[in-house]
Amino acid sequence: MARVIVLGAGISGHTAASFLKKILGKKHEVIVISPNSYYQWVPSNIWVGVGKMSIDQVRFKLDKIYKKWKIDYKQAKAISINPEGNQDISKPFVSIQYVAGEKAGTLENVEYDYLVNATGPKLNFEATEGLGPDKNTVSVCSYDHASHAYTEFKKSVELMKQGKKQKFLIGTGHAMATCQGAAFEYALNIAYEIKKLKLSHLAEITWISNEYELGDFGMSGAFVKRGGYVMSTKIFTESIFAENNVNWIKRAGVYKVEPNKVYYETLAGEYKTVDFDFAMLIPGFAGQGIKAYDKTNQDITSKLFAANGFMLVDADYTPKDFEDWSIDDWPENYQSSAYNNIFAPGIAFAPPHSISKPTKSTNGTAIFPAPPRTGMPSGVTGKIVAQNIAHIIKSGKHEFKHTASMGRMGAACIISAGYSMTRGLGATMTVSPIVPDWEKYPQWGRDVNATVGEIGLAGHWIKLFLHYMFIHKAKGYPFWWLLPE
Amino acid sequence: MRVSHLSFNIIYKQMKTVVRNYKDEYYPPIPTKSTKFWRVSFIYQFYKFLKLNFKIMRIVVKGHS
Ligand SMILES: Cc1cc2nc3c(=O)[nH]c(=O)nc-3n(C[C@H](O)[C@H](O)[C@H](O)COP(=O)(O)OP(=O)(O)OC[C@H]3O[C@@H](n4cnc5c(N)ncnc54)[C@H](O)[C@@H]3O)c2cc1C
Repeated sequence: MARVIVLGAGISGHTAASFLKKILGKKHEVIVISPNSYYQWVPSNIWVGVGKMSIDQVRFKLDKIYKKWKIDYKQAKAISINPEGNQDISKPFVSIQYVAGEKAGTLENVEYDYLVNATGPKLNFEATEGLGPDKNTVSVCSYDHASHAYTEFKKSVELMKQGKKQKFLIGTGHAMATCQGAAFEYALNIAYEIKKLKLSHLAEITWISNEYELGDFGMSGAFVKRGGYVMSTKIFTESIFAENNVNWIKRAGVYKVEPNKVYYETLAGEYKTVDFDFAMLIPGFAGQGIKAYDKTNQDITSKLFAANGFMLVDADYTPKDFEDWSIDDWPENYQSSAYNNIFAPGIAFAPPHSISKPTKSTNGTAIFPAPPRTGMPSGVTGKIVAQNIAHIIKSGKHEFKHTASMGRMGAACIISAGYSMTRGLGATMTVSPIVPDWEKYPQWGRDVNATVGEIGLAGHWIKLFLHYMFIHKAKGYPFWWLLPE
Repeated sequence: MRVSHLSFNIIYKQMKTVVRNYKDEYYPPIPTKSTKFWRVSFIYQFYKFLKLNFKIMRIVVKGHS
């Protein structure tokens, strides 16, 4: 009997665990270790942040579903990995610490044959002074943050109702933050709600971002066919902002936040500030800081993880100039480059480089988006890792039947621009591939026939439909495995 | 109420002129009334819903090797 441990029960880890158990059945053991007792459908946190969904609509308890699937669930966080065991334990193991219940605080070593590290990103608020929900800004990166954001938003709405002007600042809170798409949808939802309340004349909404141009979204922008032209997502994004009276500040690396004031450096090397009453700024992302030790308890963290804490996998990490980047740099099977029984799907793997062009200010500060890893690639990579591990266990052959490179797969992202079944809006964006392939598509970097950028009510319906579909799938309701990631 | 040419000029001069030109927000394309109408037109958007779902499915299927 083989034992597979999955660290993390987010989009990637939960997908991996569900397929591992489905394929491996009773003969093998699957253990999920995750500190949060809930699964959350993160993309819908945007709607929690404007009061359109409750926390309980975007999350559900994991223990019930894991019990049904006969997956052993430990509400704990991984602290370190011993991929070779140690002097007392011959097998590889993970050291975990329970975070809830009777065992809270207790440490345990859990042995494994295969390990899936799907711990996603650490929301690195500490990297920007004064940033975060405990300090001067709000966030929508988790359901509790989003609920807090809504409470703060309501306060601003109340002040506007009393005739007081309010400044809203939304965007990235670090010079190298990613996830612009989420911030973009939040800005549009805020604008939509304010418009519905007929308070737009009292709201000044500003977008602040580390992107070179709007619409970069950390994926180097994209080109879409619209109105008889092939146009850049820069035009698409600027148009949506202009229509919604959202101003913008681009090429900005936020480095400090004080109550009601954001400090940022521009690519031109200027140091500037912008005032706000309400600010939702996405933090930088890092790995979870899991350590690694060899058999003799020597620290081998840098062998398994990159400096930013993400796990090194089958990518080409050789430093290269932007012009020399290739889709072949991107991983295909997410196997650790150090140990062949460890995998890192979803956001947990270290990308070989960014997708956007690296740019530095005249003062030498790197100001550009880190590469995003959205829900679809996170789910797909979780699934193929599960399929490959199951195949290795069942066949005894160490081969990869399934691959999923971000340089070959496409992604769909539905950006909510207002929640209403009859007047709502959503921007449907698809790109293929996610990482531009300039060899295959020399003109636009991607397949323009597969790349879509459309705004309309249909986008809202799709986003809502996906919400229910993915929650259905994650809850393991009938035919869940037939639903795509 | 009909506003005479003279009173229009007086009102206009009293208003603070906002010069929108030369600002970033001035240049992007802005949707026309008809574009806004089609964006929320139920039948047209239902057709778009099917079409976009089809496009998304094509990408999803291609992404799963
Ligand atoms: C507000 C917002 C909106 C978004 N909207 C969209 C969208 O519309 N479309 C889209 O495609 N993508 C969207 N995304 C991106 C998408 O949510 C991510 O791609 C996805 O959540 C990544 O999945 P993951 O499993 O890698 O990480 P996560 O979902 O972050 O899961 C990580 C898991 O690891 C656990 N964990 C953390 N530390 C440890 C530890 N030490 N030990 C064990 N477990 C640990 C966590 O509790 C969690 O369960 C959005 C993101 C945000 C923040």
